[in-house]
Amino acid sequence: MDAKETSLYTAILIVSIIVATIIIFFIISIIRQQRKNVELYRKNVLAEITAMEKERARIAADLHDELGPMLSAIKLKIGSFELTDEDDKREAKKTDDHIDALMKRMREISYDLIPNTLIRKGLVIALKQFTDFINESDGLKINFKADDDISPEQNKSIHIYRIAQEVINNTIRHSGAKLLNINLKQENGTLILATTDDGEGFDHHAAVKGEGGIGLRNILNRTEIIGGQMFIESEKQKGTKYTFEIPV
Amino acid sequence: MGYYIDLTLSVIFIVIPACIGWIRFSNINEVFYPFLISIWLNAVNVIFGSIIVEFDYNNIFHYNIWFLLDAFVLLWLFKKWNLFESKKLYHSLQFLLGICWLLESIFLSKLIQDYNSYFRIVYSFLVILMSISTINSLLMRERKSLLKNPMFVICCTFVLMNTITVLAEAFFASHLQLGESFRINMDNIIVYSGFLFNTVYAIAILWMPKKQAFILQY
Repeated sequence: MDAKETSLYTAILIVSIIVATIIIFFIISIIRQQRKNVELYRKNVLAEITAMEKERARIAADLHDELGPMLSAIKLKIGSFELTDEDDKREAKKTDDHIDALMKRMREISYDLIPNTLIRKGLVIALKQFTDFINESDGLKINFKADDDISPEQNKSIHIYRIAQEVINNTIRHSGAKLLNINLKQENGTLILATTDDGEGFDHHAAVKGEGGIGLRNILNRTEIIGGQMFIESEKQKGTKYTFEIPV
Repeated sequence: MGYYIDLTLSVIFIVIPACIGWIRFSNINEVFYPFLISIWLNAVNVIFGSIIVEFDYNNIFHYNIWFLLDAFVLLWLFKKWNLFESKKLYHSLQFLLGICWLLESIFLSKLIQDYNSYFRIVYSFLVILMSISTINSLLMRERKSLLKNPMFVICCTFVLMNTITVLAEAFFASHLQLGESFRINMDNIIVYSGFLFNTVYAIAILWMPKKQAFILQY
């Protein structure tokens, strides 16, 4: 190269290096900013979900400790009436039945808010109980299989339970499925929750592009809080398969 | 460095990601297949181009064909990454690139007389724009480390590599009256930076997952 070409080449080299440095600096600043955003987002979601769980536990306790005994007392009081008139007896019986229905419903709501079985007997039994409860109705049939030795930490169990609950609710509400298979197993330090239904399926690419439904967002948030990953395989008319991989 | 050392290093650095992609193929999600095809095309192009030059043929024709194929494969890659809201935009870009290549091949390079430098500038510029859009989209969705996200790594490398390609190619396209050694040195900028970029591609291929985790926008 002659002197002019060498100068030109040097100039090009300098420009290239400057442009590359600017781009690299830009990329590094993007990565740092994204880390901050993710951290902030996680904290917000964690605070939101923790507050929600606490509130649920408080409501469940109030229902159990205050409304429950009160209803039992009312039921006892009505039972103690010595009625002679047949109409009065009939009305008392009706009221008694209403109170029984109310107590049953209250227990269901309380269980829904915070399942005692989960705390006392663990995740697998709680999920088994919940799927049995769904199987009692005519709509969806759930096959639940789980390894016996699964026992994640308490704070993870509640999230895994809620995830499974939300998937079942989504399946009932949106999929039109008749059968849902749920498999819970543990492999190499990872808990795998896999569900497959025979429903209509949905375009999950569209969900990814947009904001997704509230249910999907809840499931994803809970999965991320416990450091897991969520996978969806779904196509129209081909059912939906959810897989959750959670480190335990 | 000497021509043969440069050539050997180029081939090695291109073959490494191509081989990793071939070995890991069954464990890689299908959204990355166009990228692997692009890497394989690049490897075949460099190896074949070097061989025919040794037999005193010029490699202009097959390089021009490779430019077109690579442009279409990369466009397909961004389609697989859900960059295009509508199929109309995707097909319009395909049409635009096709027309651009055809016009340059007919009126300027004659396909075998010179490299399609203007086309390369256009498609490199397009790849930069598509990469930036993908990076923006990832920023809104990714909740794990961006640095380990193969899409992000590939897009950043695309931006860097194609910026340098545009800068270098602009000199070739303007046909300045400059010596052969200047052209060789300009080529070397692309060749040496290629060593780095292909290493990054190899790492990105190693990080490519079998399944794509479900993510939503913030």
